[in-house]
Amino acid sequence: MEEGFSKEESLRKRTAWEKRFNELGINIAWKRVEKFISPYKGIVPMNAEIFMVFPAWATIFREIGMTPEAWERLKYENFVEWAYRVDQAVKTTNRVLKEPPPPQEMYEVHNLCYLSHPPAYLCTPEVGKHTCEMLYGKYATVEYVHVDDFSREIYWINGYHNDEGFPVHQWTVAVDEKLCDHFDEEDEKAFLTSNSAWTGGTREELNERLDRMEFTIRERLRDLPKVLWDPPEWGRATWGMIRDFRIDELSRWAYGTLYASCVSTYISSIAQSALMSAEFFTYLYYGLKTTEVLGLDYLLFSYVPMPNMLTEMLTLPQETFVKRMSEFFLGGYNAIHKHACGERKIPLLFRIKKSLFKYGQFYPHYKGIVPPMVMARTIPPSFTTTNVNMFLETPPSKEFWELLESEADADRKTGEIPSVEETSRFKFLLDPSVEPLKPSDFPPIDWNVGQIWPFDITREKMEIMVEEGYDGSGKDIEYYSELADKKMGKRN
Amino acid sequence: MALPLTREWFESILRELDSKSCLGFGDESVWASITGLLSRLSKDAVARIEDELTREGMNKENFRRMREEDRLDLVVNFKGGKIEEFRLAQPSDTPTIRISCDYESLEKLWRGEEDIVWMVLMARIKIRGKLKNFTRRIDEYTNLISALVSNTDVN
Repeated sequence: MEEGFSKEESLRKRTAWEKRFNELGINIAWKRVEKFISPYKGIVPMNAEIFMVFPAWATIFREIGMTPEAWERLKYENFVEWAYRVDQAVKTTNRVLKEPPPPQEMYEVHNLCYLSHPPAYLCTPEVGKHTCEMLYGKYATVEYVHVDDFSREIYWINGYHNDEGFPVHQWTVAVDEKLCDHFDEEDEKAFLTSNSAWTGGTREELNERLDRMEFTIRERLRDLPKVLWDPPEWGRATWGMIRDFRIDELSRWAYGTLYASCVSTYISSIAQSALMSAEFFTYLYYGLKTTEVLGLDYLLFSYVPMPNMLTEMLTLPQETFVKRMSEFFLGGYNAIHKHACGERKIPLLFRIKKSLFKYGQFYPHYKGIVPPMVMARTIPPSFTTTNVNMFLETPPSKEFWELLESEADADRKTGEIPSVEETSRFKFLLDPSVEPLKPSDFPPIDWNVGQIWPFDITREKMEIMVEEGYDGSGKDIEYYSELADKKMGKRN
Repeated sequence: MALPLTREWFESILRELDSKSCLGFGDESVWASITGLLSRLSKDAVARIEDELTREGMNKENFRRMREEDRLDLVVNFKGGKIEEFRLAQPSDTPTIRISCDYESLEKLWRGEEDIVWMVLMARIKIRGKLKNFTRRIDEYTNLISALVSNTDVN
């Protein structure tokens, strides 16, 4: 592995973080809001700063009444939704690769799937297959390690072995016994049994693996995040253990490159509930560039090892990154994300999705759903000084500059944006010159199907497309998009 | 309780704040823009305020303009944690902290129905200034709001 990990270094980082957290007074603010949003009062979770900059999520948690039971339920729903997304993607890919649709039908929603890693953004099977291969190599095992924000314990490790960019075998390494309590018949078959398509284990085996000792630092696997600082360190520590499990469990796949990808419950839930692909790509940017962009001394997400292609793409400004990812995976379109599981199985995730759709992702600061091209140009709150050119590839509109100056004290000459520490600005700033989308603008959405729209969608363009007969399904999307552009007087 | 902008109103707020801690404000100058208060005044209350402003030799036009915009801009200047001055804001003021909010939010805070940090996160109350100073002065902000609402008669 590229770097090591040590308890001492982690402790130093954690102590420095606590000092800064307290110096800034965020500890005081957390104590005031935890009664509304925290399932475990009195515990400061990892990512407490992120809990505080997403008021839409805080509002939803407050509405739900975030009890320990609700939190445990969220962990379960989050797990099964991730896992079944890949199963669904395998089915869609098998169908589409066997009988490829004509090019004009490629972006219809029933042909899109979560073949991405993580299964968080929709893509066409062909593209997903090739990009997985480009990102991870011809043969790769990608395992996701999930950690509770409050207990700092690992509670599941699950992922896939990929051959030539295609997931060929699901592998559940470990699941905490409390999470298994939520399993239904379908889950028991998927995670507690093994066959040629997947490898699981009994409840006892899956739970027991979390108690295995990591011998470098002599801690149980489940406890590693308690003594190691952030997702990259968890990834480095768990990587060796997962490699050993693979030799025992999946020796026939041992030739593939192994990736460990680590994330917490809350961050993973935000990623999983992103309303649209442009939104997820924006979060991915924050997740892997947390320190530089959000000014926090930890990362929100990790790949160990980090795929080279992603490292290269992360050198781009946020807006360019989001646009390139959208072009790469979705031909420049923007998908409204669907859930793989039904509402009866994941009621909390449905409630979250519907609330985010009703309120908008940056409620109450931004009244509505963020159009993809505005999302790509979002300026986040940051605990360090940032610069407009880190985020935007073209200068802000007149109205956006005015907002940046009045709300963020941005310097128009240098582009510099002072930190949260200086201005108390906790909110994301979005270009006010483009009107937010409203839920009523969309044709009815089936959250198990999703929709697809042009990346440059606006209220006006959506209205024309819908009036002309577009239903969000992707059928003839190019025709309707061009027709709307023509009606709006836009040149091709 | 007194009608806003009257001498009695300024004095009663000052009296209440004198008895509470404002130490955290040090030498700050706080500018507060409050919306949704003046529009709630009855015709009779407006007439009484205008009478008092005339008696005090103050410009009624300022009050009319504020009512049109439904915005009351106040300034509180502190020195060593003690209130030195409390008055209507002037364009020449150079505050170190700016607060903007609607009066209904202040009432909710005063009644204990909401938390000030929650309302700041939800942008119902906007406070511009250093983050650490805001969180360390939560009690002082609460005192300020409480004094304002508890002494204001909107009828």
